[in-house]
Amino acid sequence: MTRSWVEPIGANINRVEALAKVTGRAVYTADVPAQGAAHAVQVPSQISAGRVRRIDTREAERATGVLAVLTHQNVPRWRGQPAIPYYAESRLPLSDDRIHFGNQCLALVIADTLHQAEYAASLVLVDYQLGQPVPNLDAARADAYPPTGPYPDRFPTEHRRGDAVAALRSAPVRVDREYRTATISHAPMEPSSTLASWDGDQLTLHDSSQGVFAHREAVATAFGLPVESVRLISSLIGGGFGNKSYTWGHTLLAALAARVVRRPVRLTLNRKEVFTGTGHMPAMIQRVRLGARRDGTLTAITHDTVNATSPTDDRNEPAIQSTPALYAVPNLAARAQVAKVNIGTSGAMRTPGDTPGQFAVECAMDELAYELGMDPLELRRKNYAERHPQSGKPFSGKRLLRCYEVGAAEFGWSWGEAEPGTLRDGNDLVGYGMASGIRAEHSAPAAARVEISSDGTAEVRTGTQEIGGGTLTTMVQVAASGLGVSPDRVSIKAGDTDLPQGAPTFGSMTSGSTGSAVHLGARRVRVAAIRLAIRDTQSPLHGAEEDAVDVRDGRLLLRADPSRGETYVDLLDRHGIGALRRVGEYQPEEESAVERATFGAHFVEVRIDRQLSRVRVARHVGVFDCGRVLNEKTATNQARGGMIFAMGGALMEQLVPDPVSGRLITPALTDYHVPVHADIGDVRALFVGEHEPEAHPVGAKGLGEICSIGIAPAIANAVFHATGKRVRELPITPEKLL
Amino acid sequence: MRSRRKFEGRQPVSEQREQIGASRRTFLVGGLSAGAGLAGATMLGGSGTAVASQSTELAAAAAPPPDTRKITLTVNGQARTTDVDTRASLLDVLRERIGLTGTKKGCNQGACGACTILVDGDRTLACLTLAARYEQREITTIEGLAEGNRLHPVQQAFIERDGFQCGFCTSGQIVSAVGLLNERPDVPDAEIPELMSGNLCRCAAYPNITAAIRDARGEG
Amino acid sequence: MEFYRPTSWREALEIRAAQPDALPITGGTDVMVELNFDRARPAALLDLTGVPEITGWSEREGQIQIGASMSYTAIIAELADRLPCLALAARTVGSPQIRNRGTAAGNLGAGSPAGDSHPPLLATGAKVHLESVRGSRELSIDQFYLGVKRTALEPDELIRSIEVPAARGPQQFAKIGTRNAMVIAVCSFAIALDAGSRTVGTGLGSAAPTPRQATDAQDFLAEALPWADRDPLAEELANRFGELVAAAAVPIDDVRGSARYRRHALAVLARRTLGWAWEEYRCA
Repeated sequence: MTRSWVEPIGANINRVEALAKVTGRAVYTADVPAQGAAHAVQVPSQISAGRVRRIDTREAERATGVLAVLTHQNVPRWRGQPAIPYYAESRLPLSDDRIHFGNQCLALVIADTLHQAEYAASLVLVDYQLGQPVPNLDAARADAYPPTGPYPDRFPTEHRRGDAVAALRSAPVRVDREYRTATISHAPMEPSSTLASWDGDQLTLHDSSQGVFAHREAVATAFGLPVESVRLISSLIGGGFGNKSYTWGHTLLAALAARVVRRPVRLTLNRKEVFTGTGHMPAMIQRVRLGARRDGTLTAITHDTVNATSPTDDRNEPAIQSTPALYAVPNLAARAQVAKVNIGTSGAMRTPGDTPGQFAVECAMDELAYELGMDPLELRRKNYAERHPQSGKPFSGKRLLRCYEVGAAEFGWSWGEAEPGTLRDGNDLVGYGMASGIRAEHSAPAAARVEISSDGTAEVRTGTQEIGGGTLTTMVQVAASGLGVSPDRVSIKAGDTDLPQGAPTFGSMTSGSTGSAVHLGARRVRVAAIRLAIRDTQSPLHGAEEDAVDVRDGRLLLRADPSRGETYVDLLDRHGIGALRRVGEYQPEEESAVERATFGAHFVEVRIDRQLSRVRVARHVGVFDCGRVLNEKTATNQARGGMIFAMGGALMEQLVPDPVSGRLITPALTDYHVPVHADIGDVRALFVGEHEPEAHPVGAKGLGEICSIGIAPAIANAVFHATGKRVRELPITPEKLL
Repeated sequence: MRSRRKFEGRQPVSEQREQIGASRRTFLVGGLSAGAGLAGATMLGGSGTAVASQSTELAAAAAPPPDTRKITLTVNGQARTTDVDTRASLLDVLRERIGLTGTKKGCNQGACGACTILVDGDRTLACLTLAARYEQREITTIEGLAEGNRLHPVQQAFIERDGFQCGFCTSGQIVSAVGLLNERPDVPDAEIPELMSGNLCRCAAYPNITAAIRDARGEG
Repeated sequence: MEFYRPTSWREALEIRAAQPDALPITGGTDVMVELNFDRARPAALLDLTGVPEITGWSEREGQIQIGASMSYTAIIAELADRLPCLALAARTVGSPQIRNRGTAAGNLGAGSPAGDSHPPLLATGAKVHLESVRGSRELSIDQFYLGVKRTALEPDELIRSIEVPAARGPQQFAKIGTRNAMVIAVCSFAIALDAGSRTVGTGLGSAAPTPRQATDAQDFLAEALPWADRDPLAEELANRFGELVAAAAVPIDDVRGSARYRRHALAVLARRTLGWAWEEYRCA
């Protein structure tokens, strides 16, 4: 009985959790049953700067069902300060009477039911001492400064090579522009939720977490516990985009509340709290200067950024991080500053640093191209960097030229046929634009246990998380490939610190790092089985060379003579082995001879209503090099989603602070507009990557972030082509085109 | 006017601050007395718009707490009797009282569509639906679409077309699509996006969702 | 919270009189948000969906009576021929889910200047029928709006129906949002041509503290349109109309759009909808 064997990696199988997701049986954190759990609700600050002069919780405490009300006055002290950034802020919740941003948590009400807690929360009276809020980046900009502390330690605030200032001075062609980006939000569909329960000093947390191990450590530190005392479980996650990459106050508060009321406690954020208290991409102002020769050869780049940061933490949005890697330019200077605004601490949002940073640089490149009268695509080819321009090392793989080529062909890119502002179709202005993207490929240690059982089924255990990227499915495929079994024989357990440590599901590390751990684990099982067989006189494979044996569809066989072989089932059965299991461990190299990165190229057609100036992306082709594609079906979905995500940031999304109070005016999905069905044009995602074991053993690189870089500039560049007007401030709303 | 509710007979107040963590000492719960002796429900101090709006909220809060009533709902063909707050939305009742958590709470204000259900076959937002008003109606949730192990054609099409990523909006998308095909069995391709725009998908699986609906329409 | 569910209009009015703080609810699409967010804690809710007298619609002498609990979806399905402008506007309300529950009467009750029903009701010269145990009265639509979210509805009154004349000529509606659907209007505009009386009606949304008409623009157009000759629309006429519409607006800068853009866009919408409506008139 032989089915035709299909290599599992690259096969377009349906998601392993698809049935659960289409039937409503998929369990997200807020759905985890919790018999007898109490509910906690946060009391929000109505002001964005100041102090709590007095807080009166008596009414709330007397309300029906209320178990406790915690404020800065009665909250037990935290035992430690978790490391930034996996706990995002240096101030822990309810630490003191200070108010740093609107909607900050001032008290926590715990009651038997959600409605009781919500009602009682509305009874807490706060006497405010109003401070002077800094409402937005414009108000703060004059006081910008180089950040200090853990964030800049992690994300460098300066890059240099050559002498950029001198090179700029002598450059025959120069571009010097300022670009602005708005405060934008991850806005995942699932508001974060935590369910906390204590058994003595053992804490179990169900938490919407993109990184269960990092978050466990943060929680353990705050409670002064060894990490073994905390178990953190992340069910399916209803969208991450970085919103759940760091731990935020509500997770600690849920655990604290459960400790106080000696019952399990559930705390699910409301939508406003998601917008105000779990990070965002901060507003930025960036200055980019380019110097070039008349033939388009870049001679200098400078990139100076300032981003809004919270009163408590200097978080620099790492917008300059990829600038040194973009082009083969000999002189470069990049510098990042921050400015304090009364807003919550920002966080990593798809794609941290690179979305705003490359918006600025790639728009400037377009401006330079027009200045030179040169095809923007040619300008990029002209300055293409074969090796990493800063380190001089080769890339593990770089198929950006291929991205350009495939994208231009698919899109039908041609330049120079129409002057900006001249192309029309009926009442629409039409414009074409392009940009490219780069993202450094990150890695994290990861482990996975893979086993094959004597009944022919296999299982993967690794503490990764499913946030929608198709992780469970692709990890099953990697295991199936390594073992040589069909993916439908493989199950996976994930999202739990009781499992071997997977990489966090952010920073595009899943395919490369966790994927490599699974790959290595599965290969170890395969090799162990092969060795067992070739040493076994009863095996048809006895005496064969290890390398001569392949495994397909659960059957070990001789490559040269596939009729000779036996199944895992027979082999394990004969040896009385219930399950053969091995752990795969992936350890990133400390020092590497190569640079790793993912690449993308975008080609966009916009149509703009001539009178109303509304911009619509009619066509968008994105081409990506993310190494080997593990599942083209899920990858295409994710990539198109990332392109649309970035289109939202380019055209419609912004969290707007009130210019007086500093409170956000639009912390709701009614006014924070993300793209809807009707906004979607013809969006195509193509892949040019190949198996790239030099990047990671599994040969795949990340996709979730590269697919959101380079879109905003491509759209802005197309808007220029359509209208002749440069909009250097996102989002490109109609009034900016009047 | 706010009625003075009886003290609930909880444990006495503790002013004691205690460290979190290894300590096993009892933390007394129920409230605090720490000097916060405010006179009444008036706002003290401060000025400006922010505080004004707080005052409004405080004033609005001075009403009786929610009370409950027993209702019987017909959900996925089954009668379900449960106590509910009269103010409770059908969404909260489905999730918190009946235990049907497939319907999701994404915004609680009708802006995301994750809580879409069918009421007598019509697409409806459970978060904007007062449970107590829907006793006589046929309520269908995502859990009620399949017949035994046989998936609804829309569900099957969502699987084949990969019409989701994280899946959090998926229940709403699928129920909404079923409602759409009830309304317009022959809905033209060009109208599907607008007629599905009440359902946000932040992962933006939109192209695949549209494709799934086209497939399911064909089978209808 | 008390919950009343009258089964007759009379009973509804009596409850309303006895308990003016009972919040009327039909579709619930506005009221439930207030409840969910604890922004309103009404002592009671007055559910009107069980009242038979206010469901559906009826027609008498060219006037359509839209019952207070008639949904947008029903308006689109049943009244698109008689009330094209209102049906067009209803088509742009929120999402199909919202349209299945939301009502034009609820839109009036909430009184938001951004409500999508207002411009067509203004453009067509609708009337609002208000009733209480004291009696009934009829207000022309432009008298109904008093200020931002303030209306002429007395505490003991309920909206029974909205009376809209069946179209006597082409009607158009257009709305701008920051995305293509599921959006609150940045601004909106409705126009109704009355081919019989050769008059023009207009309605502006999100253009002032209350929905309003552009009366100067209406008068100008009624006078200037070549009703008899049915000539193509002169560009300067359309432009002038747009200017007068924009001049009638007193918009604000807010997160949805700037006052400048709103004025500009209203002029564009006015020209455009006039163009469509006039073409329809000429070809009729």
